[in-house]
Amino acid sequence: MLRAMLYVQWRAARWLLVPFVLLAFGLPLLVLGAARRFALEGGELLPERLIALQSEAVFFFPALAALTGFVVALAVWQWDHRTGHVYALSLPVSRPRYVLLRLLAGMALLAIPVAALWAGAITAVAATPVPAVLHAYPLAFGLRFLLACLIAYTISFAFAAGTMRTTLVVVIVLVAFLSLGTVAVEVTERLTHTTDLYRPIELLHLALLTWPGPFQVFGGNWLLIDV
Amino acid sequence: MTQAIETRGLRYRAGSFEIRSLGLSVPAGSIYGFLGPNGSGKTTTIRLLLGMARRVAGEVRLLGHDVPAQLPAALGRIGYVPERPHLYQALTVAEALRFHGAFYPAWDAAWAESLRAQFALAAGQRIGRLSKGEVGKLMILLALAQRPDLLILDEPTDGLDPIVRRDVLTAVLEYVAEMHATVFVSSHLVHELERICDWVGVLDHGSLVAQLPIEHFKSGVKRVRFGTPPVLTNGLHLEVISRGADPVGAGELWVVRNWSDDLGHSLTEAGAHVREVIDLDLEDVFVELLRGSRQPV
Repeated sequence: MLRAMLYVQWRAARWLLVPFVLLAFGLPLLVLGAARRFALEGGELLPERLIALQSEAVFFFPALAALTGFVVALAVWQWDHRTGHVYALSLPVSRPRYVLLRLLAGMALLAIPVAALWAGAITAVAATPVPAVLHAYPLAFGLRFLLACLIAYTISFAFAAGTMRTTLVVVIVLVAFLSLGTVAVEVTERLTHTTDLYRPIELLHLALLTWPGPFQVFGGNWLLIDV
Repeated sequence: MTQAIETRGLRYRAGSFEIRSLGLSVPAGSIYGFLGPNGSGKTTTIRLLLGMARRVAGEVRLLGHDVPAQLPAALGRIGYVPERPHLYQALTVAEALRFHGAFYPAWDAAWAESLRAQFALAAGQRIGRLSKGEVGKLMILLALAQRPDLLILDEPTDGLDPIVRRDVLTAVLEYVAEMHATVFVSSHLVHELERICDWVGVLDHGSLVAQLPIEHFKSGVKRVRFGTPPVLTNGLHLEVISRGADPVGAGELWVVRNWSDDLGHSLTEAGAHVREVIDLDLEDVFVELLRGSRQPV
């Protein structure tokens, strides 16, 4: 069953994956190639400049991971959405099992852009004479990309699997939390003459983007060559 | 006789539309025609049977399995052809067969291939590029090749040309004859069902108006032209579906159920004057039944 699902998933997503595979392979080459060119001085690579130049482009990798996960998750459900899920519901598998099959097949597809990124990272590192004080981390870089892809994929998958109503409810709750929470904090600060309360947006940031928040991986260290 | 489909007090509501306490009883091995005008709730009933819609109340048993508790086990023995094509459009015919077959333990790949050839479906053709008739044949093929004990067909021949319709019905009937499977087929093409069904159920506005073997359905229902209509008494086993003035001459025109020659004699002895008893075909019966259920006598 998983094989059949994997094949169908592959048929649904293969053309959508092409630009992401090309980007995943090409981006490490481009970033490291540019950093290498501009960090070169007197025939030698300046370690600080190499790191600083890589840092300039550090946003692209988590963004690519998020977009890859998002697109694969949408591709996973698009055929079922188009048929009103009638075919899926008529198959003799329980709904949790069907969702699990879809989830796993989509995860397996993510291996393709991740492998492309890995290949790109290894090639880029191989073409760069790493200064003695620095180290290359293509393996960790690939793992970080894989993790970011999986997080983006599973969250997008959950939304895509649900109804528009579920998505709306989540969005409304989030907006209500942010707006009402902000008003509540403002009022409390004025009444109590304090200024050290957390805003809802700061709470969200702390909960999601800092360790052990699920999105911490997106804001972490995305340098291919580092100390 | 065991029942392939059994519902008790099945209720569903969506806005103003309602299915009211539906009690379906489909004998195993029968070909059950599920008749009803457009919008009567046939497709909704099928979706309720297959656990695709959430009921308000009631019980559903398919092939002895409780729905929804044992739904996957039931679905493994059911071939379903929905009203509208539900297959993945980007797959080829061969890919759709492989995908579908992976989910069914009794999938007969050799027979699927033979049906594909019989239906002249090109293996490499994308489903999105198939004609309506070809898609209809493919859906029947998929439902049959999984060797089901129960076929649930929702308007399977609607919109198909006569040749494709015959191909599809022939394949279904051959399968039923071979496997003694049960068929639950919904349609508004009354004449088509008349040829193949042995049981019939009529749904109108979400209520089951009638459910009985087709020979009883047809033979007991008559249009009777009375010169002098009878006086209805409690002892008279006659169900009047509709009655009104006779447009041809004086007297009344009745449509009745449970008619028999003996009953005719009894009515005559009681003073009624029976001018003519007219046999109705299934479509007439269907129309009169709906008319009667909407305007009770």
